[in-house]
Amino acid sequence: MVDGNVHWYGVPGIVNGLAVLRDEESSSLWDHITGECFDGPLAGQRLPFWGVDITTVEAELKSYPDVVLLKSPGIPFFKSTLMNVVIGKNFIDKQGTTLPGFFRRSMHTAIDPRLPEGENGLGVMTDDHQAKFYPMSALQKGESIEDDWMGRTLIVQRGAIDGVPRAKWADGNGRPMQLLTRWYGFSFTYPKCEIYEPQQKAG
Amino acid sequence: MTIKEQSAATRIDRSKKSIRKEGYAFEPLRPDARNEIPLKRARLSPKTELIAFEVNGVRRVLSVKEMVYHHVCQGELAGEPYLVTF
Repeated sequence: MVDGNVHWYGVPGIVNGLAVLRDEESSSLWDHITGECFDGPLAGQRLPFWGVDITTVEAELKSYPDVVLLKSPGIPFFKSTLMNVVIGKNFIDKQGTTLPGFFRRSMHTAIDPRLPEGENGLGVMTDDHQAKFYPMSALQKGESIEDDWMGRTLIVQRGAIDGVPRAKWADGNGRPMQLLTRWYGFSFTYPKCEIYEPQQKAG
Repeated sequence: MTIKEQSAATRIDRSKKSIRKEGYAFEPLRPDARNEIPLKRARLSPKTELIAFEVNGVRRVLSVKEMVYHHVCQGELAGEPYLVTF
């Protein structure tokens, strides 16, 4: 909704290797992660946004046996093949990715070298652009870690069935905004974000 | 670091964007009742990855693989418009 009206969106291309949204009503360009309009007549506006959950059929049916699937009417074979190269057949557990040349040509600077560009992990962020990345490699399936961040304690747990990391505040006041993402995309969206590092065990 | 310093308008170099002037690179999914099927009858592998979302307490799931192609799913659910991106 923009100023009380529904705008219709699609992806006309990429910036920094990330999908960009364009609305049909104003032809403005929007960041698909933060909901910010960065180019066009609506520049400066921001869509309200909330998190989605990545999971698997097995885990979803265990919790929501009657849930409804929104099925695509069909995908052209050659595009399906290209997407498998970029994302892989397994998004949750796969580490690393092959970024096509046109992804790199859309990047305005080098990818933040602090982590491998295709490292998968959980990105957690606040409304004022504070952000932290929890690499999947630091989180064990079925286990949880506690981390002090923004003056509060965050619990990050990887699901025992689907292996997906999810974050919630230890004080019981809900969940921060979060997304499962690759490092290159998260670091372009949240430059200078913090990175979680497991504490070394004594001895 | 302030919000302005990290806003999309300042951290994105618009000269580097690779964007079609018209149309979409990916066809957005705009589902209606014909696209809805119970997940348990969808004949998907247990390991098939999904995106789950809720609008006013009503839950829907999308296949990650299909959303990698569409990138956008937009419609109305429980009387509210929604937009899911990937």
